[in-house]
Amino acid sequence: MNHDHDLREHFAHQRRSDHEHAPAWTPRHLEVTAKRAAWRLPFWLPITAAASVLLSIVWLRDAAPADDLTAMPELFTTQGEPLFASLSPATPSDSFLPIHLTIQLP
Amino acid sequence: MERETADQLEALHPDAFGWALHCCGGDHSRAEEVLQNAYLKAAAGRALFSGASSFKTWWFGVIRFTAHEEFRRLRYRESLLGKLFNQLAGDQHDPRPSPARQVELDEQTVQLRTALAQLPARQAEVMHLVFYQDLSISEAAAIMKIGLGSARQHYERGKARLRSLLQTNSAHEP
Repeated sequence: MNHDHDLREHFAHQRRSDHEHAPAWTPRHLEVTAKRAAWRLPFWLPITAAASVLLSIVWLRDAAPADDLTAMPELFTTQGEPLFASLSPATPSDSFLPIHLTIQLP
Repeated sequence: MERETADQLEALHPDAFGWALHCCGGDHSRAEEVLQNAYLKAAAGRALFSGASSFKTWWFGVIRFTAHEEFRRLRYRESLLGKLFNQLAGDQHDPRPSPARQVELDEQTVQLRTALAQLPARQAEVMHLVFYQDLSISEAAAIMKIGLGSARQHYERGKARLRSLLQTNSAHEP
């Protein structure tokens, strides 16, 4: 380590200078002062609050009630007539069919 | 806090301040704040010495971690959101050291600080811990939380680079 003497000399000089300007040791260093104990806003709080507000807005928008169904236009209407009522039971649907193959409507 | 721990902290106080000063890039007011916060951690039992390493190694590790926390807090304060919230919370902070705390540094100290500032952070740290604090490379590695091999590499490279920077700076002097 002898060849590092030049560097050690530099650092020793800096060490002496720092020690001269170091704050004096007091037992107060180990006491929780009023300033330190004072309430301080944690850094994550604003981020969490902003995220919560954003999520609430999105959730409230999604949870909005759907439009009333009665207000929608009626697309399908039922006639209330019996099935195949327009067809006459006497006439077959295909006149070329043999009689035993013709479906007889009730 | 136990009396023995308090005595050890007192004995290490000047060197601990030197280490805090290094961790804060030579800013006296920030170094004082970092050291005070580290003392509070020890006093409140938030940093406990387990005996796994030497007391000095443990304590310097605490100071280093606290300085990193302080750096992150400072960076947050400087951000736009942080500035806004500080205004709302009324927490004003002047990053400039007060004139009373500004220290007149001699030329040699300034030269070394300038050279160290030009080194990569890890190299500067290992240089300070080995040459200033007179610790071994393995102790420096424990404080910096890196492997011994990596610390050795930083040590060798840092030494060569620092020597060259100091020579260059002294050659440029009138």
